[in-house]
Amino acid sequence: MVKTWSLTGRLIASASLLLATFLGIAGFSLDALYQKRASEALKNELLSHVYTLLSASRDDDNGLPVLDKLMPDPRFNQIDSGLLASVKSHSSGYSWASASTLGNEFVFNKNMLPGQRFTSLYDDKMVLYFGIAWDDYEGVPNNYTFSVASDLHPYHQDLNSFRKELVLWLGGSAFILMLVQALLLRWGMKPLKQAAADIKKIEDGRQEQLLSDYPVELQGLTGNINSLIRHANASQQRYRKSLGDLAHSLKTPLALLQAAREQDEQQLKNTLDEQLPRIDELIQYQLQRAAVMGKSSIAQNIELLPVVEKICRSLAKVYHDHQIKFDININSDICFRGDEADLLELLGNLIDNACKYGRETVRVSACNQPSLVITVEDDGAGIRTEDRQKLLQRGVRADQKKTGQGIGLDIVNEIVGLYEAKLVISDSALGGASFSISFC
Amino acid sequence: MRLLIIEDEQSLREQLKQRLVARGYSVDAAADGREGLFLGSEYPMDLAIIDIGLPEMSGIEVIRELRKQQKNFPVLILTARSNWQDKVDGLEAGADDYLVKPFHIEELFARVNALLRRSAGHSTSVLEYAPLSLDTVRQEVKLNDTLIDLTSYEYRVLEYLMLHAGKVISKLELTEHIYDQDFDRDSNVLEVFVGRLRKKIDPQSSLKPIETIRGRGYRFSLAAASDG
Repeated sequence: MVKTWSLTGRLIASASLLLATFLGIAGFSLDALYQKRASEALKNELLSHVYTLLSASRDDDNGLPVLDKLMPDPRFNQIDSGLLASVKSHSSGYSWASASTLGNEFVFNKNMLPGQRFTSLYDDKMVLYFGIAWDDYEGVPNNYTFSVASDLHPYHQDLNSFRKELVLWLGGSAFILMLVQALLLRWGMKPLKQAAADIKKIEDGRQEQLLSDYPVELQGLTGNINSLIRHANASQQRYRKSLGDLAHSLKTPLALLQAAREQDEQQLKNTLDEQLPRIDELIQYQLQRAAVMGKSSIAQNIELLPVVEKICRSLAKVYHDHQIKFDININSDICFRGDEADLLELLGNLIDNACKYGRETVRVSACNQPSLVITVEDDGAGIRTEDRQKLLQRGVRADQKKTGQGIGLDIVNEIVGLYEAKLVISDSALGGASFSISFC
Repeated sequence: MRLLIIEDEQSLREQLKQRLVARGYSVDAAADGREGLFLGSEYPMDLAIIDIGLPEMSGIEVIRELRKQQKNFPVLILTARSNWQDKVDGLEAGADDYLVKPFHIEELFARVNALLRRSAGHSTSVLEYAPLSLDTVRQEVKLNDTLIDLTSYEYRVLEYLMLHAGKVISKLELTEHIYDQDFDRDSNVLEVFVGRLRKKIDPQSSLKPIETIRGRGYRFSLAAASDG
């Protein structure tokens, strides 16, 4: 089984991923931008050095440029200063190199046509080649290449310190953001923790319901939990009541059995025959009464037709010898809102009775306009008007009834009551009884 | 008739077996679903009585499995709970009738009888093949309205042949349905029973209701009086 991530885990993981991505992109682009700027600046510096060289050159006898050994910028004169320069003529063989090139292995090896310039990067240097045409006194143009190279060491140093600072800043902000995120998470998760604590209180019996001050997103959930709790409480109470009723109602038959110990064998047998079925009925009735789920706000919609068909298929087997014809008149879109076991119990008892008392036809019909009405009819002898009211009386406990009547209709009454529905007994067009349950 | 009982509660299982054997059925009993399923799959049963609440393999599963194996003998389920969910589940799984515990043993006999009759295609409890009539409830046989005194085994042989009237029943099939699994199949005790039975139900040897089909078995061959 895949382990489900905790909400905090999910939020932390996703926020961290987002933060890392964002900071990564920011760091990378800042670094790239800074590098671009720095190399632009270096290029411009090299260009300004070329201009310095041009302005420092004097004309010789032919009007062509020559440069002095020493240059105004001291870095050109100092060995290992990191700044090198060279001027070469393409035709006359004139070549000048700054004093700083002494002992340096670097060679300026490119010639540029006039107007061309070329910047190139070597592992530790940046070089600018600059081509110009210089007219001598006779107006003949001579091509020269002015080259300047600068050590990249300071550039790298600069970049490294920038990077260090960048990491520091970004790391710092990441830390602060994580901290803020943790606080936000704590704040956001607080209602859930509160709900867990409330549920714990309910478990311990210190509270009955979840209180109502939950954020709107959680109110659906807490509302449902509350109705579940109410539902569970109601069932528990029903069980308790049934158990009490059962214990109470068993007292009479038990007392009769106890008294029967003194009787002779035939009398004892008679008492047993009377009281055992009575005890059995009492147990069945109270157990089933307690098991009814009743109306609930979390009930499901159950399609009626398949349930009715299932019951009729089953009863067709049980009443095989009666050859009963089931006439089912239910649209497939009609639903019952409630517990399936309750519905089975309700219809099972009614259709079973109809099979028992009917001759050959049992009709089950339903409509849901405006609310659900289910009708079960048979073609038997029907029920006398004066008996109808008695059948519908709720709260007539099974122990107050004569045995052998069966408890089916009592259970039906119980369920009808719990669903706040109405059961009506009338004459059926088929000739027998019609039991009609209207839900609201 | 050979019945299978699957019931985990020992006292009830033994009581049922005893009472059904006393009524002339041959009975195989199992204490759990697996053993019951084995007996039901391996031996030719005429009916099974299955408790729904069995340990390990539930009664519903046993019924489903039996039906999957094309075992079509009728099944009566016993359920401790009288709710419809259980009843409908059992009947939908392939059972034919249910009985809620506790029940009167007479009620069980009546259901078993009705199911056996129904599965053999008879709709009433008295099989009429004039001048013979056999009452499956009272387990009585009459010839021209005079009661014939039959032993339990003779009655069983006749009932099986009459329930399957017109069909040839091999000696093996008859033996398997009349006796439980411990019976010695090689003995010729069946021929002795059939011989005595013929003498009792046809003293003048004029009707010849039980034919011997050579090499194949026996056939009850009187014509039905009222129903088939």
